[in-house]
Amino acid sequence: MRSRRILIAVAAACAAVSGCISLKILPPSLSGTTIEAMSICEGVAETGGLIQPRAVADKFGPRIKRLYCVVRLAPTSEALAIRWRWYTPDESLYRETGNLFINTDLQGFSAITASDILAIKSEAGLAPGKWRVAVYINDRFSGSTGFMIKEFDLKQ
Amino acid sequence: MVALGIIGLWPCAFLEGAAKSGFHVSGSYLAYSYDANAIYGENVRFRFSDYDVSAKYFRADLSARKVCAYGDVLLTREAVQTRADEFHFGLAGDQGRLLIYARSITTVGLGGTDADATPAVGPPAKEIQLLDILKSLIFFTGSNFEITGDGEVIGAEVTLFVGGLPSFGIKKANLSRGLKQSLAGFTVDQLWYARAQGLTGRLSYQLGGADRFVSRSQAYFQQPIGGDDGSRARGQWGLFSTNSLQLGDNVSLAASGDYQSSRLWNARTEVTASLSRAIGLGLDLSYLKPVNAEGEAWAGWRTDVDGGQAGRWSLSATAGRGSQWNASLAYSGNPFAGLDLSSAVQYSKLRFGSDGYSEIFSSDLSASYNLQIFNLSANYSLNRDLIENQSYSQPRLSLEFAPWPLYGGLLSAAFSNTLIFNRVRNAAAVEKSYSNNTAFRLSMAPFRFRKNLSLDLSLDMEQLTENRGRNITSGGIIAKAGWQPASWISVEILGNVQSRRKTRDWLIEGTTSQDVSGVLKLRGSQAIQGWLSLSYDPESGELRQSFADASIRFAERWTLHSLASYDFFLRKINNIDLYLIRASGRFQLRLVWRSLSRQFLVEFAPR
Repeated sequence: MRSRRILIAVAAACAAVSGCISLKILPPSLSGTTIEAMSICEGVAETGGLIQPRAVADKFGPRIKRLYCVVRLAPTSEALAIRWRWYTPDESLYRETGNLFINTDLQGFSAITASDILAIKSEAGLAPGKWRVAVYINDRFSGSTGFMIKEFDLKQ
Repeated sequence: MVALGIIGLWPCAFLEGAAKSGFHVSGSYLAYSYDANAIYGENVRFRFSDYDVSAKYFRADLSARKVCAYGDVLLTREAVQTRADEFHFGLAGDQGRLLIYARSITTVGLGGTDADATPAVGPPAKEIQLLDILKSLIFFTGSNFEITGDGEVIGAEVTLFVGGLPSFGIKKANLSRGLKQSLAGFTVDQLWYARAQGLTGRLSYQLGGADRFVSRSQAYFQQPIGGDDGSRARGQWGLFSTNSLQLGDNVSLAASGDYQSSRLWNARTEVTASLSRAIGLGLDLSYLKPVNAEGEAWAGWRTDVDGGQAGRWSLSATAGRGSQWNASLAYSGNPFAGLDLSSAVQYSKLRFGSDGYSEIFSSDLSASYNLQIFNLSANYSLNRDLIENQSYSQPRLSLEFAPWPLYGGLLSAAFSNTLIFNRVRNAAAVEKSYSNNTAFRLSMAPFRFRKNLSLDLSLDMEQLTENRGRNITSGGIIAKAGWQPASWISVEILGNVQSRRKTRDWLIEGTTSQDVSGVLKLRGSQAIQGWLSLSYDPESGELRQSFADASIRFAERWTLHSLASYDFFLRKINNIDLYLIRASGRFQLRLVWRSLSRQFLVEFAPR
């Protein structure tokens, strides 16, 4: 009994001195509607069943004809509805998509990618300045990103 | 040493008592990336100014000191609730900006400012993504983080992830210090084997950190494994400890000690106090024990005064056992634009030999006037031995002109001159000498023959004159030709001819040397790049030396890099360094092999 008390005292003393390590902390986990990455790019390619952004940038020339907003979601087995809103430099709504429904049969996916295309038909192109894109998952604001359209340069 | 021990055993509860300004954030998921110095969070709650804030997502770029909470943002003050999609704010101050995305983006300023008047709290400079954090080499996850006003992150009950794998849990750690803080205060700073040095190790133990008390102790050892003759050299080891305790907003106490296996040791304790923003005081006690000599105790005092425009003054004095003294007064300031002034006066009386003393008075005065086109500086230094009655003084004057464009920028000329007087006085005689050095450089703007072919030329002349009748004239021409046949390849050839002539009375002697070197640079893509240099001696018609550098990125974050040199005279490879590099945000993990020292190293190096 005495030796057991000594052992407990030694263990308690070791814990008090070393003090800052514990080995069984359970790491928290992400929720089911997490955007892992969001990027604006000039093109996309499909690799391993996922959409991969190509020529990612945060500044684009005024003659750009097509822009993509690619979203990569964390592993989930939930059904999701995604939509995009594109805002001009004067902060007014330029384009709003309908909902894109994903995983309606409730399978488990290790990653999900989705994209929206902004096709620019006007000869004048996009207005120069800071644009923003907001993404909604299940009709809730889930993130935004920005990009810049450069001024038209006569030298180009 | 006893005091150090007492401070080293200060209870943990005290250490956790003080928190700096900043805020506490809790969430269902919080991750801090050491690589990116950024936080991502979900279902977070924190307090901002008078508001309780909750949001679905959270990100903070701690290098840019910018924070964004987004998704179902709710700010509550008393019974009033405000909702938004995004809430941006900076770590410093209590101003923020709320954004609501609808038919247009509505922006609302918070903290007594309108939306347009808060440019400092816009979106983070780089929008941190969760994937950046999950792909980090080192990151931590937890549910409670403390973010200080300085941008440091202290986590409680966190899990360390290395290369994406959960490694172990830590009760409390300053996450901004990465692995250095996380291993319960113990860190292996260095552990390697090299043939020349044997086994070398450096271990640290740190207590405190983000709190008022910090204690850092280090132990090192070096154990040679044995010479080629089978002899076994003695190893060396040492212990070093430094501890500081903040006793209030204006007073701090520091203590340090150092012990070497050669039986050299010292201990020091210091109290520093700020009487006001402009005046600082310091008192210190120290004990030094040299090898094979008697130990010495010293007591010192220091006062610093920051007079703003009038300059900064520092006055200090120390007294040691056996009537030893050391006192100094220093000033530095810039009374008006372009003029920098500094001066220092020091007196010391120190033991010299078994029963003697040295008594030295020294002073230094410098003035420098900078304009865009020239820099004029003057300096006077005096060193006087009061025991031996000798002195050495040196006034010095230098004038340097910025490169002056000629013929519309086709040529540029630069000129500098330095004049030095020396005066040495002892009991027997006074000796005076001077030297003057004038340098002139004429360089040509790069001349382009074609779009991808260019030539640079420059001419250097230098004249050194001394009062002892020795004059040296030297001159040289440097030519550089560049050719870039394609965007991924370029060639540079550098040639120089230098001549040096020394005259003394009727004797003229001198040397002429010439050298040609070339560099070939390849940049296939971001993934493959390298260069090769060759140097050639036109006089002997032989190649001298070659250096090569190549790097190949074979995976998203992994690069193989090699450096090699070859000596054509000895016909052997001098050295090959091989690096396997894992890029990771703010730093790199490098596995290094050095053929010259036969060392294998593992390094964490900042990028």
